[in-house]
Amino acid sequence: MQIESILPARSFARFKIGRTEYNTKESVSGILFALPCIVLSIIFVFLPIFISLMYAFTDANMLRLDRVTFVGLENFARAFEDPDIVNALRNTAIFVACVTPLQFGASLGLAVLLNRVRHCNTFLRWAFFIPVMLSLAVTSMLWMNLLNVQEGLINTFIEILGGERQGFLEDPTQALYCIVFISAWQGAGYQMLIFLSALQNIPKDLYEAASIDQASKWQQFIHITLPSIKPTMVFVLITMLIGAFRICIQPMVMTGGGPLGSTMTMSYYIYKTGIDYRDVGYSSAIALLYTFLIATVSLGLRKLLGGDNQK
Amino acid sequence: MANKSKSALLFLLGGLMSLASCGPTSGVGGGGASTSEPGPGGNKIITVWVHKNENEDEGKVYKQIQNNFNALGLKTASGATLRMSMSFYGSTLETKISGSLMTGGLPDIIAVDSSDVASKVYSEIIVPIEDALEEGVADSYVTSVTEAGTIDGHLYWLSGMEAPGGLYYNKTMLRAAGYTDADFGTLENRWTWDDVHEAQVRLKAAGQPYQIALNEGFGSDGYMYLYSSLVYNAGGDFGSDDHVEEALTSPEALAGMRDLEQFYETDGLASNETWFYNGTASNAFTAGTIPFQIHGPWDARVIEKGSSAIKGNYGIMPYPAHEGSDEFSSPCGSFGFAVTKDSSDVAAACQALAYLTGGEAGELMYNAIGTFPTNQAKLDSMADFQNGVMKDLKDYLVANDYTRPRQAKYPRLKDAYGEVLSYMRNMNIVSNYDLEAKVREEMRDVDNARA
Amino acid sequence: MKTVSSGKKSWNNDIKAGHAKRLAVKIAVKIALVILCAFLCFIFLFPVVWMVSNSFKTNDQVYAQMASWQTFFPPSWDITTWWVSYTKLFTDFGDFGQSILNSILYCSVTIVMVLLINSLAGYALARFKFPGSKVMTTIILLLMMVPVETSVVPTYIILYYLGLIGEGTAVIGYLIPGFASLFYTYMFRQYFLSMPPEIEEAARLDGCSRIGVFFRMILPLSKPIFATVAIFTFMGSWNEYIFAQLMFPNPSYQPLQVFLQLVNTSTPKDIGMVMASLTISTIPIAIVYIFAQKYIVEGVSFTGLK
Repeated sequence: MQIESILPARSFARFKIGRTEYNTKESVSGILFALPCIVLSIIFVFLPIFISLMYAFTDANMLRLDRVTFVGLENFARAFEDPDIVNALRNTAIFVACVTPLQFGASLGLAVLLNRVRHCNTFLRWAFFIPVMLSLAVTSMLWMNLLNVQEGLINTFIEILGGERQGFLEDPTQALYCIVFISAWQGAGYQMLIFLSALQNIPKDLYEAASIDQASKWQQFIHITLPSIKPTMVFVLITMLIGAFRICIQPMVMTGGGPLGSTMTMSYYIYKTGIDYRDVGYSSAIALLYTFLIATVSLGLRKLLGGDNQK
Repeated sequence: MANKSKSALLFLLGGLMSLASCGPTSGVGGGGASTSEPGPGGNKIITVWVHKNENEDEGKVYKQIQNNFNALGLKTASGATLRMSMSFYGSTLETKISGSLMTGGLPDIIAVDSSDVASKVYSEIIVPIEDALEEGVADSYVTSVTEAGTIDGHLYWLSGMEAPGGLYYNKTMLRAAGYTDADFGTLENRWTWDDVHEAQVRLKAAGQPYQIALNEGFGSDGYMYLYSSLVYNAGGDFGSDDHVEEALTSPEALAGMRDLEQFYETDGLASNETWFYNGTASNAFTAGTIPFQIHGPWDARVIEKGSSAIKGNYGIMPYPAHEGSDEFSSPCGSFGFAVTKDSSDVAAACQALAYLTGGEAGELMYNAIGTFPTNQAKLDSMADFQNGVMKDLKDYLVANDYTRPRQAKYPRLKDAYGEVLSYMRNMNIVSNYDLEAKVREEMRDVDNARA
Repeated sequence: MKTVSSGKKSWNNDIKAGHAKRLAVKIAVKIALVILCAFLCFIFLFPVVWMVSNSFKTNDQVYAQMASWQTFFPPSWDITTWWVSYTKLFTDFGDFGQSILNSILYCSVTIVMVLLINSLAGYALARFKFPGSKVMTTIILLLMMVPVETSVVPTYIILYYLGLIGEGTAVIGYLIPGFASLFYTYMFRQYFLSMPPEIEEAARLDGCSRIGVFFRMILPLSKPIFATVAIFTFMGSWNEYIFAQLMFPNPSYQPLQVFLQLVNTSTPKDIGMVMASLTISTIPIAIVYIFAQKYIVEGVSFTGLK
């Protein structure tokens, strides 16, 4: 990462920290520009997170925040013996492994489609984006009713077609996959817009050249389209992964982590132990461990895929 | 560098700890307990934090109770005029309380759910009131309230409302299956769970709807509210903090839970049929689509006050019994109020508490939202409770004890119990269904957790 | 386009046949595309249709029509019967009208402050080299990964120590934690990095101050990113309710969302009313989106470039 100075330095006052040299005047202006943001985020972003993470080393309880004692690494030791964490990690891993390719494929597919369709383009774009705008309350209530075993529209339909009623959100083997589908459905529109604009930025002459070479549409897609939007794909993939790792609200609203713990994810477990069980100390310890895990995975991926989105 | 950042971290942590222990002690406008002692002729303000929003039906009633109380102009022992001042924190009451522990300034009185009394006692947030209450006040409440409010022999909590429940049944459908009015269960001669299931079989044979709505998903406390009675009815109990595994794996407790199994089994059914109602409609019983449901008093109110199709053709039997046991336990529990450790005058706070949870308040609440009063005299005198389903519900309420565990780890226990019953519900899907092993596993987690 | 022919004798026929064939394929593809688009439209649009149509029904009607196609249509074609839930919403909650005004006020203030504070910071990170700028960018990326569900209580305690939870100051206390957002700062930074620095250099040489350059040159050129951050801020701020209830026990200060939450969680649940409240709360977002769509598309895209 490199931040360039845009002007020939007028002021020659300079100073050095470590091996980097700074222009004094530029530094002062920069800090002044960023100051309101720095101050406010220290107070209202860093400090709350810091305080709640520090509770990880204590026995803090929601109802006894005035009597907190230091317990060292006890909470972390407990975390490594907690069978619920194994379950939550497994569910989250399944969720991430399923939702990422699905949502990635869906958003890319929709973008390719929109890039091709001429008529009603604006309308379609708007339609695909609508689930992004709807609140989770609407979508979860809707899907819970649609997927209901006894009265849901989808089961009614399956039965008309001669199939057997499915448990969906009430079946421990299906519930997580239902949430995968619903999440992808709700999120795909956003990444679709990102892909769409990346597609529109591919120079047209690349395709013309390919047509002359009689490359099929599929070959064009593989050899021109995909390589051209690779940086965008890497960016979308990584943000999607981070989002997927933090899934919490959908299972909380739709299944409450059940049936039989089959949709209990890590973020939801952190929330539950901290808020419902008031065990703030333990909850913070898991949050801290989990943050390390996400950071490792996403930084590792960044390295692996190479397409860093920073200049 | 590493050393420097390490000491900075320690410094901040130290700062945090000191922040935790010695913050300012009076609240900034948050409605904290007043500390100054008013002389005769002055006002003594009792602050109350409520778990509802001022715009909700229940919140509106609290507002009215506050105004009525202030109009009374009661005096404290020292001659000051008592006034009540409520703040409405809705679902964030818990957060407000946590925050106020560090900033000081809890009010005189806070709203507490009956199931949460033990936890707030354990955390020393609320204080005993039996010595500060006026003579005879505690005796005017139904047993389930005073029992819910009593922890380790001390009374901490009172409530002006109760939510008795039972087995709703559709008379038209049952008559069509050959039942007569004399067959329906009463407090003296209760139906057992097996009777309920047998009725389902007869209903099905008669071509009638036969499902029972178990309403397990009702509220976050649903399983505990409606089904803790299973355990008590069979002669079991929930033990005490750190000892629930032992209590719930006793033969009685397990037998009690097993009363519910027959409704999840599929004997005598086609592949896509279930004995329990599996739909989303919360009005399946009131709309007359199914013959049975286990529920609290709210649906009786909906039917009585509304234009329900089954009005006049339904009844509420007592909560079903366990085969061969005389124990009677029935759903109950509700929000109530308690005096906090920051209250400067517990006796004055108790005067307000007694009114807030008394007969008049209970009647207002009943009229607005349908919860039952807890004042014995009110229950005996109000016209609504002298006949019909409301009288039946009242009788169940009066005969009942408090039937939910009183433990500091209740939130975990509640979830673990729900997990067990939900395991039972999925008995046909899970491999190697073993209820006892599941109970053991879930309850061991509860016992191992920190209170 | 080139035509491919095979054999010499009948190449004329072949061309004809080829034409017809290609035409047929083209039409088939077109039809397939139309069907696909219609299908996708249905998949993505039906929740909105469902939400709006059910907001016109009573609770019993909702359930009565749940398992049939009627669930996607209004209860009847008599428009006067549609407003039961809406009327109930405004009569049951005395402060409902006031709460809409509160929401609009809170959202406007938040949007203005978020745009100002974070765009300046993003600009600083993109264009200035100062001690800590690199560290800041890294920290921003790291913090995006922390699950923040449990930091409500610490924030409340901080506000208490700043004296911002009293009757008069609670409004400030409610709004101020939402002003600085690392994510938006990062979005602004990415956008500004993508702009060529030459324009700014020219303006600087003309004697414009740094802050002048920002407001006169950068701001007008960055409408898409401002519009995008504005709508995300709007959606976040419009949907907030936990902090609002905590800070304002007095309903006359509460935003709309607190009331919607009440409708949502009240028992027995009135689905018609829930849907009516959700429809009301979606309308402003939809309006903003329709008007700012062009910029938002550009702005959202930018989060993915680079």
